Amino acid sequence: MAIQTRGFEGINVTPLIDVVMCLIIFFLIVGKLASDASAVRLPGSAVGRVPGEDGGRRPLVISMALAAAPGATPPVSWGGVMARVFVDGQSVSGPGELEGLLRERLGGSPAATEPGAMPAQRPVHLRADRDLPWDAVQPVLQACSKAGVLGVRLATERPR
Amino acid sequence: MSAAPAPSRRRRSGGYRRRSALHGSSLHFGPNMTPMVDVVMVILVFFMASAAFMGPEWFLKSLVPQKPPEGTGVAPASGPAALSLPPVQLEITLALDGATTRATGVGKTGVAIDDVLDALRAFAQDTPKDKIEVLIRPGPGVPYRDVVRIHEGCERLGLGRVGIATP
Repeated sequence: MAIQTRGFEGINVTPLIDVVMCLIIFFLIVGKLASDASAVRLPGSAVGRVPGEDGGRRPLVISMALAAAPGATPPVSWGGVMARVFVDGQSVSGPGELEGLLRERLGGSPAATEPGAMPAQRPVHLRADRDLPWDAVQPVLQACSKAGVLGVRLATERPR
Repeated sequence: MSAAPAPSRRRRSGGYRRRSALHGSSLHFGPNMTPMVDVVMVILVFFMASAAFMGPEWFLKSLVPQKPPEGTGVAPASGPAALSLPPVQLEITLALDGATTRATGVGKTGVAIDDVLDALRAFAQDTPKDKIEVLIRPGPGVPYRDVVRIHEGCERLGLGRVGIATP
C-alpha cells in the first residue's frame, strides 16, 4: 500500500503534450492551407484536363474570392465588384499591381512556338469563384493579357 | 587477494542475469516501430483530411487574346501557310437578361446557353475541329459560371482553341 502511493507521483503529462503538439501543428498547417485564397467555390464542369508535368514549372495561381467569403484581407473593387484577388496566396490591391506581379513572376519567354502551344513561361491557373460576375474577372484576364500571358487555365470543380 | 573478485564477476555475468537479458532482447527485436507508426498515422490522417477539404479540380485551357502592337494591323498572310484555309472564327456573346444569361452567336440570337451549344455542336460536325476558334465575349454582369459553361461546352465538343475576349 505504501509502495503504491509512493509510485504515484502526479499525472504523466508527456502523452498529453504529444497530443496537444500534434493538434497545434495540425491546425497551424490547416490554417495556412485554408487561407483566404482557398475560400473559393469553383464552377463545376463535367469535362476538363489534368495538367501534366509542365516541365517542372510551378503554376502561378490567381485566386479570386467573393467579398462575402470568409477572410481577413479587406476586399478591393475589381471592375466595380468587391472581391479578393491573390497571386500565389499573396493579396493584390488592383489590376496594376497584378500586372506587375505577373510580369515579375512569370519568367521565361512569352513567345509561342506554335499556335495553341503553351509558351515557356509558367502556366497560369485562374481559380475564380463561380458567383463572381464577369465584371470582376475581366480586369484580371486583361492584366494577364497585358503581361503577355497567352493562355490561362480556368480551374473548375470535377464532379465527385 | 586475487581470488576475491572472481566469484563476484562470475555472479554478475552468471546464469540468472544473463538469462534475463536474453529474455529482454528477445522481446524487443529490431527498432521500436511504435513512434514511427504514430507519426505516419498522423501524416496519413492529415493528408486525407486536407484532400477532403480541397476537393478535386481540373482545368479548362483558355487562350488570352493579345492586342496587336500599336500601329500594326493584321499581318497579310504569306508563305506556304497562306495556302491552307484560315480558321473559322466564331464569336459567342453573352448578355444578362434579368437573372438569366442569353447567348448570341453561331446563327442564334438571344437564346439560352444550351441552345447555342447545340448550334455549335451542329456546326462542329461539318467543320474540322482544329479549324474552329471560339471567342467568348461576356457582357457586364454575366456570372463567371456561365462563361465557364460555354467554355466547358466547347471543350466537350473537342474544340481546343477557345478564348475569352478582354476588351
